[in-house]
Amino acid sequence: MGLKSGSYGFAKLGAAALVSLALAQPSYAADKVLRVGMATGDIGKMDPHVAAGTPEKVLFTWLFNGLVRIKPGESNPKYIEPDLAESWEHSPDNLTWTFHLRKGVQCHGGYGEFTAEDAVYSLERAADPKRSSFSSDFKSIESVTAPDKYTVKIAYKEHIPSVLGFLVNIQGGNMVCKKAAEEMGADFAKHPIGTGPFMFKDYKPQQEVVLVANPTYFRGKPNIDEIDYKFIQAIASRDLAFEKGELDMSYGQSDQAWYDRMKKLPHAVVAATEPTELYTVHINQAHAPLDNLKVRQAIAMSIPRDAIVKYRGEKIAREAKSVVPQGYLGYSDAEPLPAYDPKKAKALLKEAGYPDGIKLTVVQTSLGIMRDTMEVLQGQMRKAGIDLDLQIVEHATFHADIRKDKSDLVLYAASRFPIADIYLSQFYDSASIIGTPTAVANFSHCNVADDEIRAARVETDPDKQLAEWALAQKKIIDAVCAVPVYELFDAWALSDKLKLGYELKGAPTRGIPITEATVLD
Amino acid sequence: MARYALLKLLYAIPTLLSVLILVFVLTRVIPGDPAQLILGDQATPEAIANLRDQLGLNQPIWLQFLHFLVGVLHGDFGTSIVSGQSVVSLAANVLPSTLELTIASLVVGIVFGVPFGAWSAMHRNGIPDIVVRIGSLIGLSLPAFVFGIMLLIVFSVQLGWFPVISPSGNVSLFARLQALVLPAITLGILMAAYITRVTRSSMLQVLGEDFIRTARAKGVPWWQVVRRHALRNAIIPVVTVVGLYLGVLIGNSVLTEMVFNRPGLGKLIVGALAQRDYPVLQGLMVLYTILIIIANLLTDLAYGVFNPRVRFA
Repeated sequence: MGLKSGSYGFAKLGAAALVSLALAQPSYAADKVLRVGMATGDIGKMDPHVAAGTPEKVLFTWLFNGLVRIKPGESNPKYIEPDLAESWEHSPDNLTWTFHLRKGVQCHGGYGEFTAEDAVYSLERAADPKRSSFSSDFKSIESVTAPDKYTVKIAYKEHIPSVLGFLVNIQGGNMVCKKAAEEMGADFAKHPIGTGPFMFKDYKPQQEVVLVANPTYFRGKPNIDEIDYKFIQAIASRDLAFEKGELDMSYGQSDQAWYDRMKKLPHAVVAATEPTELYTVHINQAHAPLDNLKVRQAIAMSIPRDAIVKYRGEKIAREAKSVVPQGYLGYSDAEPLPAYDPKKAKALLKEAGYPDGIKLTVVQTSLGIMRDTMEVLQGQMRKAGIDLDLQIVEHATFHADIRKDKSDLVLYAASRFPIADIYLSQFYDSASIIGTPTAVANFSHCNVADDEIRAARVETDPDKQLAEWALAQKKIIDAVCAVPVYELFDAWALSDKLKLGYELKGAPTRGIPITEATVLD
Repeated sequence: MARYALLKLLYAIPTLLSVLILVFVLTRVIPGDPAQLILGDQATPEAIANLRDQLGLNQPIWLQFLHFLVGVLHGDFGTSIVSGQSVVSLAANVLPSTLELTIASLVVGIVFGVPFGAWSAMHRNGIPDIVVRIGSLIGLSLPAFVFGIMLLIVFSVQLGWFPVISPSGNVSLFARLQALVLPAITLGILMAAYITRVTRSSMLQVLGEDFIRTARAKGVPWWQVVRRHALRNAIIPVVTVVGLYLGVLIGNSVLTEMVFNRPGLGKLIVGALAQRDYPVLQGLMVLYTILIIIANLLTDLAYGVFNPRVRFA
């Protein structure tokens, strides 16, 4: 490149500046700083009882404890173990639970010892719709009291499927320190105070949250001194930063190409963690002709689940087997899902009075994985004479529109606390039908399994409870309220220098626990 | 000149007001409920209604607008309904980064655009001209997502010259400048492409003028003719383009900010839109409008500097 005239000088100057800037690297901080990259532009309210997004939930994993927790690395409730409560017992009728707290646990920032008063405050806060997004999880609580400094008593109005499940350090189960929350008020969400292994230090908008080790953590001071939780929205940038060693842990993308690419990096450990998100096509029975069972059966038979799993990636997705994700307490695959059979689907449509097939309107989000899943389904379903008219809208609009009954089919991806009741109640109990005052996410207007879902919720005999849940799943599958398609794992890339101190299979809070035993070489 | 500037600023008031009304109405017309987005998909209608109440979203729209307007007049743009931070502090936090990136890209644009444009004009239809024209076409059509990532792969990952993630907080001036190089090139290349094209066509026109022929006939060296006589006259349309595209730069910065993980207004506004964070959207729109009005004013004033014939009456 040669420039005539005076601009030559400019070019030389520019080149010189470029080289000199390039020569020195900024010094990256001390050894034991764990740098984590998260797929977000910024973080919302850092209040565990309010924020419901993945970026916040991952952060809370390191800041807060519950009365109990799921053993690090696992995601199934059968691994529940003590956390802030050392032990517990319940009355013979299962309605009154008493928790004995660990002594000497300190709140971050010098807010004093965590006592029963803080636990009572936390639970009351989590149950209050004005201060909590998760109040409905605690609606069966009659009272929470503190008979003494280290004892918490919870009385329930009715049986709930898992008392301990709602007390693990997820969402409303996170324990906050009363004095801090009351003193700070709305500012608590900008400066969260908990009892966990790491303490909040700093927030830089659109850049990062910095946490430091809690020196008085009750399980021992963490080996890692600092966590820099960086917001890096673009997956390509996260990948490059991880590849270059600027990140030790990076939230990945749940697709096979990403998995394979990262796996090839010499220093990478790639993890696919549970709980999975179940991708389900909900069939809106309030719209004709979807009120016809044969039409719904035809839709179910037009979806090749195994082919879609192959498309998505076999390391990162697995075939759905029921309307409840695998591994959830109460999951049952006793009733097989309708097998892929486009010919039979066509025949069923003909029997139902649609020999030329049907055309359905589908409101679809523009969000990557959701959108391309639906586009694959569109191509597959066409073979059975089902024509989908996809109306692609932006994600927030999608959420608003599907709750207004605007879509014939709703592709929805969700993971919940791994107990069948939550999934079944939110998606298939008629009380949750969208548009009603108690609406949650019943997009199909399904009402065939209310009795079983509600009976299982209050059943105290575990075997009978499992039987009710299994029957509910069978009824929903038989009525084809929805077609479960595949389950997607959360994907993370971890540096091989990071030794978690446990075997990583699942991350129920969606954040990978960094414990007192985690080491960064 | 001061009078001229003041008048221009006064004209800005009705513009600002229309922007305010437009933004206020538009953000509320598009579907999507901030309360639903904050509380997540497991929230009950009761909890959502509660939050809407707390956020004042259940009030009639004209009342909401009135509250907003009164706030603005008091310099209060409200607080983000997502993060709870004040809109002013959110914007103030990222404004330096945005200005830094915009100015740096502008410098890249001018440093590359003007000489290349002039060079190309001087060799009309020659090889340099063809190379520059193809180059500027590529610059115009290369999205930041591709070009930025290419730069990162080569200069950060392969050569290790620059960090992938821009450092945050109180870092040295050197580290700050170092982190600015690749983003400024990514965003500046677009500006450079525009400036190249405008400089080229403007130069071509000027080079055909009589006074150029006269100057050459006098025996003035060619490069001096170009620098003193041609470029000076050709630069005026370039100033216009720079002024117009300054606004585009600020708006286009979002992709660059995302790729290089830089804080900035673009990212803030896209995030606010996705979350339906009305106060942040409104506040930022006002800020954008002000920035663009200032950019236009500076452009107008710059004419006078480059062309003494322009008088501010």
